[in-house]
Amino acid sequence: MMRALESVARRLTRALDVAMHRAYGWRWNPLHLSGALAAWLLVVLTVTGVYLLLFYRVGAPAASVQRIAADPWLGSWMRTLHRYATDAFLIAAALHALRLLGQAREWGPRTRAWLSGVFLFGVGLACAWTGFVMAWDSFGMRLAVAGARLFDALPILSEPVSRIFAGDRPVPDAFFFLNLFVHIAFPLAMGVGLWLHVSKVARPVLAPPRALKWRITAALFGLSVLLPAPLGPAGDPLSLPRETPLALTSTWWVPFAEGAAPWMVWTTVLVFTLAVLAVPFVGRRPREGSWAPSWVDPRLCTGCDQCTQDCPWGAIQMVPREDARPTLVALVNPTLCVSCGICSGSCPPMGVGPPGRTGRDQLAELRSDLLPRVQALPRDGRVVVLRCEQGSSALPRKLEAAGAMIHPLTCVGNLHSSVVELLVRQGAAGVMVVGCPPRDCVGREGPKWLEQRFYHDREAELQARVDRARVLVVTGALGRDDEVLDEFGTFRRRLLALQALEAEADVDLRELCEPETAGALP
Amino acid sequence: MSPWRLALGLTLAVVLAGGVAASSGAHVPWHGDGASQLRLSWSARPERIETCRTLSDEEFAQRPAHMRQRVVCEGTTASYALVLTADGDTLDASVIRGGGLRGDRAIFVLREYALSAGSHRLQLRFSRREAVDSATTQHALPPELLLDTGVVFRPGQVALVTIADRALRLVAP
Repeated sequence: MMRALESVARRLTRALDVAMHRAYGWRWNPLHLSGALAAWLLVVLTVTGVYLLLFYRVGAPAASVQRIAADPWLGSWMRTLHRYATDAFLIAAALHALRLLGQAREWGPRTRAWLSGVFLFGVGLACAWTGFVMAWDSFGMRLAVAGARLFDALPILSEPVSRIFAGDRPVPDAFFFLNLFVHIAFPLAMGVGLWLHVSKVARPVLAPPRALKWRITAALFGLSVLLPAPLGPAGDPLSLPRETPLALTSTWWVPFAEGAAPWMVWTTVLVFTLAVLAVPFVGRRPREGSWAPSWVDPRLCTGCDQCTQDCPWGAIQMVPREDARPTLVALVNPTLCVSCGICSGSCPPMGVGPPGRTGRDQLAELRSDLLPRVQALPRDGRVVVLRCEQGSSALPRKLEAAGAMIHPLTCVGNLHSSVVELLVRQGAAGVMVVGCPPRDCVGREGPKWLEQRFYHDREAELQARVDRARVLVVTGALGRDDEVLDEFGTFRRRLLALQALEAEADVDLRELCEPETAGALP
Repeated sequence: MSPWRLALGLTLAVVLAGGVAASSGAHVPWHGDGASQLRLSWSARPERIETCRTLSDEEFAQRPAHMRQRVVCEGTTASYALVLTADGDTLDASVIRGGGLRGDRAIFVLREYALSAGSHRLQLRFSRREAVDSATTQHALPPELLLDTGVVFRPGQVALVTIADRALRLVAP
């Protein structure tokens, strides 16, 4: 059941990505930064909300909001921007959850992020609810009546809340004051929720790239100016509006809440909430095989600290050694490790990584499987493509048809630079690495660290002796296989122009990397 | 960026933005055309019904010193019958009790009845069900409240009946 749900989410996310890549290219795909965009939209909501608060009057809610909406210079679009930003926030948050579900990133060490994300989304919905009630137009009154009906079904209040809206007396100011208080208190709670949400992530991305966030803000601003959000007539408990405006994105639940019995509504809310909260627990995998946490071979660890710097989850720390060597040794906390394997590519002596995916394991696999196949090819056809498994499923077939030899990786951030060096020194004409868009990496930072290791001398760097003309790193975005094929064709033509390399004999990169004190190693 | 991709990007942006605006500006039916409604809304303290008796000398002597009162009373709370008819048809006939587990808290009435627009004859009776010795009660509510009136309902309008000055009153329209 859970796997089927993940599969649906994955297909949906990938289909949306394909559309976005075709329209904007992977650099400007907002879906890759849906979480950061949601955080940015909270900033927009805070700024516009503070402005609206200056002109809102608890004693005359409908009149004050109508005055704000009637101000064509600032008030109208500020109010509308506040509303559209709410919709955009909820959409971004929902897409963010969908993406994480589709990428199986909702369980294990990410459980806290999922649970706090559910809390943030729920608070966002509640905030939208109180915000609409603040305006006290016919829609605000509708939401208040629907909410009162639900709360009256709970045995917690001595007097039914619904009587406030009966019309035999004016709706008390205290109600609007309480509503305003809740509307302001909720965002403060969201601040705490956001902190919890990213508390287990190293280097959380809370702000989208400047150009993207301003473009989206400008689009919402333009929309606010062109299409002001509707405002119904002032709420009157003694009239029965035929219809009201309804913000479908944030108050889609209203027709159901009005039509169903309160106990059914509460039961549905409870069951749905529990089901969503249970996702990380139902979706978890046994920590073995490809989900086994990383481990460190203390004999190989030089105490260089690079894996702790590269780990996107802060799952590795340096601790005192138990032997006589003077350095610290890396230690993986398995409860924090998500098995992304980024550490495999970060360790010069190849002493860390998930079982079977350390740099040494990669070299062993290369020698036993890939290298013989490469060396069996004609010399000018030895172009190897190392590609992330998360990318386009059709790409390998297309690349093979174009003459490439394909080797899959769980993430390009796992790739140890020695693998590329060994390939080049053992006869491959060139190596092309195809990674995911940097902001869409399942391991969070794989393409970023790969690029730094290959071109900016980040530790576990690709050695200077490897001819960079024979190495190419490209981004393979979903729906843009043509771009990768173009890059491959160009790369291949460039390789043909280079002098063919002779395969070196007896290259053992493992020995080069081992510390002298390591002793006998496998 | 190619002109084709620029056009595609702009089109998608317009569609997405339009989708947000449309979803934010949708109009959804609430009460429908021509709806009108009778609403009953009030709160009141229900009658406290006490049964008092004088203790015999023997009973009085058995009581602890701090509980010795010659007259002791035990009380319950009255319940009320609500009967509503419109043009002779019974819309509601129910028993109203006070709030709380023992029914001794205030009565809250909030009931709504859909009625067609036009003229209707309303008859409402709200009466105590228990017989009470009037000498021992505090008369929080009159034993019987009656309203017999004609109301013209306009489409989209609520007629509100409440208790004011110890009487049922039609306060709107």
